[in-house]
Amino acid sequence: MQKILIANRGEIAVRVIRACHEMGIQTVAIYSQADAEALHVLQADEAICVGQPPSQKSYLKIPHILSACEVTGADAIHPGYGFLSENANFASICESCGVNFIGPSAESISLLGDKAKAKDIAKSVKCPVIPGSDGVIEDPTEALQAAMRIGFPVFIKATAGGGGKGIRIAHDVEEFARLFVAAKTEAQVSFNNPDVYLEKMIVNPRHIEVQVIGDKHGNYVYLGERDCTIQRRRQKLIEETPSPILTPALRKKVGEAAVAIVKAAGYHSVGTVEFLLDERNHFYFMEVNTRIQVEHTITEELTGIDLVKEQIKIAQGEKLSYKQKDITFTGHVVQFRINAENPSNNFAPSPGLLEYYIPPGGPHVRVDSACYAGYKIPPHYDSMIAKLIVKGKDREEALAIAKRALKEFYIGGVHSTIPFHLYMLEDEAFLTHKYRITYIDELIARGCSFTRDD
Amino acid sequence: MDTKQIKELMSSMEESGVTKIFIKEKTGFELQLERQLPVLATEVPHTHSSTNAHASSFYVPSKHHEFPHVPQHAHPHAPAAPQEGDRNKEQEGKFICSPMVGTFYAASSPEHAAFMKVGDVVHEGSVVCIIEAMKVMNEVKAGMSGTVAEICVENGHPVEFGTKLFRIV
Repeated sequence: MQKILIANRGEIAVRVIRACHEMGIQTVAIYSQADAEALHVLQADEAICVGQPPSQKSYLKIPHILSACEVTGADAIHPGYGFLSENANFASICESCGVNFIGPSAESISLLGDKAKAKDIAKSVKCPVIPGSDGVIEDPTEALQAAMRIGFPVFIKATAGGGGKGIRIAHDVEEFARLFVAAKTEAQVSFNNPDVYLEKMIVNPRHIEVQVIGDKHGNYVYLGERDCTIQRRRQKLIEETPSPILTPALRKKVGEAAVAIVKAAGYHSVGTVEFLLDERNHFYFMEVNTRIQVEHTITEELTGIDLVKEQIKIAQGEKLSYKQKDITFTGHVVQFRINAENPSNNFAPSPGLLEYYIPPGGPHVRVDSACYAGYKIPPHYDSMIAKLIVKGKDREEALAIAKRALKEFYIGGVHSTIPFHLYMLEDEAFLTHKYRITYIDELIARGCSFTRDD
Repeated sequence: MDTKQIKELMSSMEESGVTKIFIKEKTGFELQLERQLPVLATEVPHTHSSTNAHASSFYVPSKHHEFPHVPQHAHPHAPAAPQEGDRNKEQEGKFICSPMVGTFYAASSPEHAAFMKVGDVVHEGSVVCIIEAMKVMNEVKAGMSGTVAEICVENGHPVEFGTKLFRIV
């Protein structure tokens, strides 16, 4: 590959440009009219404006992006994360235009992107999946039997529902009988389709995801897990590796299950297999993310493997240069997402002019960001300012470094989530890693404003 | 040299346009004065024939010289002259801008005359040029009425979204 077009913006575009430049590959940035002064535009060798600020008119505008490839002679596209990165149609169009899509094949994106099909693949390799009814259930007696088999509490979900709508939770037999009928009626009224199915509600889970990587020659490796349990409304805020609660045996089990799933799907490139871990440390397959992720950084720092360069090498047809036994996990790595949001005001977004921006430094401190002092954070896209990644020899040291680094991270002009992170670094539950996925939402429900005056 | 002389030297540099002076006196005193100029528009050398639409370098963010903390000489993008030409003076009229990324063609084929020349009158639906994207020839309509005052892009030159194509008065 001589020239890669990065079909993205912000910190991930900067990340990809850096990897390309280290490999001697030319780069093309695309940008919307709102991003004319963005860092990725400054850093790339060439830059093309592809449309108006709204993502639909620019970063998602496939014809403009492919045209930009054509006029610059780019031979490959790196889609980053979000935007078109998991769009099988886009991957397919790239393939037919002779542009190398740096990621998995359109076919495997399609296959693993379908939750039902992905679940079937997981089952086929004997990976535990979230128990549920096999499809739609009509008869109330049958449904009750299924619910008892699955075990309470049980979600009753409308097939035609979505976005969290059409979901009821039944905690016992009595409640189930009543709710099942109500759910079907509700589904008919709201979605014009009374079909419902059942799914076990995993109580108080932790979110564990495994980084996998595969080349085009059938070689696969897992690069450890990431614990992303600190979430607010399903938005990750703090990610760490290794997970403080996994044993080496469980780590191996979950890693091997993840590899088995992507192997069965004929996958290549980097990917992440997500699991839920229940209170008895049983894991259940959730879904596969067929792209590089925001938190790929902590796996890089833990293993010493540059995941973006690996993506490029794999896309070029190279074989993995390591086997599973070569992978080592050193130390403890934590990432803190610094977003332009106000934690004391329900994390309300806070775009605007970054009057000053002084990131921390020092040993084992990594900052991935596309911001700079004087930059105007546009309101059209995500609220990310920076990712702060720290590494220590163990969790205690990593968190001590984090506290120091967060305190010297000066951001002025917009709100940031730095106060939230500083609060968590003194939170008993966080320090002793005794939290589950609903912890942050619970704190917020109790009126926590993440300031030390609480 | 004393402070007054240095200040005089600095003013005369500004007046004359000299950008660098180095003075070494017998006493051992050395002085270097250097003025930084705002980055000027330069022509981007590029090959363009009707068959090769690849440019070696592309458009720069319009306010690149105002990027905080960026050394001006280090900026990799050089602006193409037509786009920077209007930076410092008042320009009359409105612009027909490119609605897509591709290659600008002034005529529907090499054998045909250009759609537009300076002085032509356009209406909303007038076809003003072709932009080729992914082997598809797209007709671009004026979307406004007026008279063509300037053709801002060269035939066969790549354009991006928003590139000024024609100035209309």
